[in-house]
Amino acid sequence: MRVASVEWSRKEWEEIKQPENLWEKIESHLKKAVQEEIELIVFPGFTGCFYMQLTSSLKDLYSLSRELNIQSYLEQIKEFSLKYALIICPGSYWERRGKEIFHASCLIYQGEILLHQFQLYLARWEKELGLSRGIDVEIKEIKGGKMGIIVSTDVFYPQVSRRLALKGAEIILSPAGYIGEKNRVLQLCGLWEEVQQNQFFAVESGFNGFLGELNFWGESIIYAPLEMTVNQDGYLEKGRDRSGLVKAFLDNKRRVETISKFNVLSQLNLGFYRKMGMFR
Amino acid sequence: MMWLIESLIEKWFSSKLSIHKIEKSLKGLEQDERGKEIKQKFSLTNLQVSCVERKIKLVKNIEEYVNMLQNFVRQASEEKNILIVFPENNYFDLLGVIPGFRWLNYYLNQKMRKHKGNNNYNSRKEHPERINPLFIHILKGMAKPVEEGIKMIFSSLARAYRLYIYTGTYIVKEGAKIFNAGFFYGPQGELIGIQKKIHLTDLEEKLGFQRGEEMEIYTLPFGKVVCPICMDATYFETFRIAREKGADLALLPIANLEEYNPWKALRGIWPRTQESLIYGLKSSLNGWIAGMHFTGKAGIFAPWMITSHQDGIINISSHYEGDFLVSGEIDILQLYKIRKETEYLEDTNIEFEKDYLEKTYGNADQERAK
Repeated sequence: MRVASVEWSRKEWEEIKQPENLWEKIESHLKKAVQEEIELIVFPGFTGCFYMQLTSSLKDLYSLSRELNIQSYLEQIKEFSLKYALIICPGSYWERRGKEIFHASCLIYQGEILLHQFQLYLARWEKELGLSRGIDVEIKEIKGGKMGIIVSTDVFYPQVSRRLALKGAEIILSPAGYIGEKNRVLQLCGLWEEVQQNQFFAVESGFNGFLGELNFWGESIIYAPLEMTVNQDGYLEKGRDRSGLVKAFLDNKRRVETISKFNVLSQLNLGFYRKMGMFR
Repeated sequence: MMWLIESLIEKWFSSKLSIHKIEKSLKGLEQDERGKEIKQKFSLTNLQVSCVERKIKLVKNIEEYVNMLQNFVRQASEEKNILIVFPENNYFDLLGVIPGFRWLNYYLNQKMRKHKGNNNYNSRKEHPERINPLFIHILKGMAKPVEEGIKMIFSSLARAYRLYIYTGTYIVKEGAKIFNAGFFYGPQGELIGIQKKIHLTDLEEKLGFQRGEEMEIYTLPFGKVVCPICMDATYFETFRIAREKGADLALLPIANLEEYNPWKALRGIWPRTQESLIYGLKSSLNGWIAGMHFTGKAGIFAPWMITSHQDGIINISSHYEGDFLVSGEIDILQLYKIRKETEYLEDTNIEFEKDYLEKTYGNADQERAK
């Protein structure tokens, strides 16, 4: 499967002043993706939140997260998915369910949401914002690939990745964004680690924009078990090309071959985990 | 036939590692006054610890082996460390006492070096098929006398230098079962605990090693310590459990049977220290034995937020082959502080974690059986 991850610089995010600018930018990347015969594309974490910010006069994140409805954003992405025949992960967004607000993401294909995922763990700033936690992860087989979504902060919680891996996930999509100073070590502590200890593919799309007073950063990277990457480093691709996309071909047959030589999950020791009362 | 080989090997090692010979080689080991001072001085904010990286060198007798161990312990003491960690498979050198083993070793190593020229070579996959079945019987045969011998040696060294010593790993035989396990000694020479390896490599499984199913946590004056072994650090579960039990430090002996690649090396204790917020002390064995090539750097790791270069490394060996003692300073109180202040870690999700084991690993045993 040919996949792409979108990465926009801080300057590019700053240039997006109106919702229309965002739609134009998203659509231009979808067109490029189609030209490049991409089947699945992931937009950066918090893109939906950024859209909310553009459509509101509210500046503080607390009010913003509670006032707006994400439906108009998702409806437009659904339309794009019909027009461009791509599997689209529209980045992440805040979603209201009753009185609770969740950090969420989804996968849209042919005008339908095929997979939906809430973030399960919260960063300190997300707790302060009063967000709620999801309760489980799901996978979905789309175009022959078993996919799961890890929303941003969850990349730092290996129990999330392990659950997805043991559910059979082959491709993980991760819209992400981190606050604080840019720090490659922090990002290495996230999805890179999870790919290596679960041997799935992962497509991460980093947010380099801003929400209210908060600044975010994140590289867009496509990962694979390191034995099957050219430099034996676990990175299939990072750094966008002229089209503004980070692209790679996810060769699942090769991944399976790689696992047959070194299968991490085959040596799990369930007896030990039980005896020691893990998570109890 | 194989029981006979095991029996002969056991007898041979019993004679070569007799109490008399070990006592003789330890003779002259005196109480180290400098060591006493170190113990009195240590504080939670300034704890000097060390890890051994060493090359396999076949020894002709137990005296040579004791001398090698003592040199590292002495150096650790001189550098004012309170703790030293030896590597996994710390016994390989002792195979040198078997008549003819040096010649056989040379032959097997040369053969494998040539084989490695083959582009399709993959150490993790190739070795299980290529290990001579005799090898496991040699290991089984030497297990008991070596265990008895090294217990005496390390207890004496710990007492003499007033150090905490993690022996690295040896073969522990319990009835017909064998385990890859390490011994932890306190500064009075007392045995604090034994830890068996919990997650095996394919090769170890093929050789008939059994998996440990418990992890002890040792409460010491400077913090709580766990001693997982090599592959145990490939699994977040080991360190999740360690944190749940209150661990502050993980001592991790390794012997990596693969050509060195910094990214491969990064799959072990470094990420585990980052996600679990504990210190990690990695000791490493390197070199050739019986056609197997081991590589790896010893290092002291910590959550990146509390390392001077913000990279999660307190100190690391300069090369993946050779003899080094890697020392560094750790600060337990700082560890407790970042656990409270971390932005991205330490959250809990009660709903998701409820019945996590059952719902997540339900089929893992069946898959493994397949």
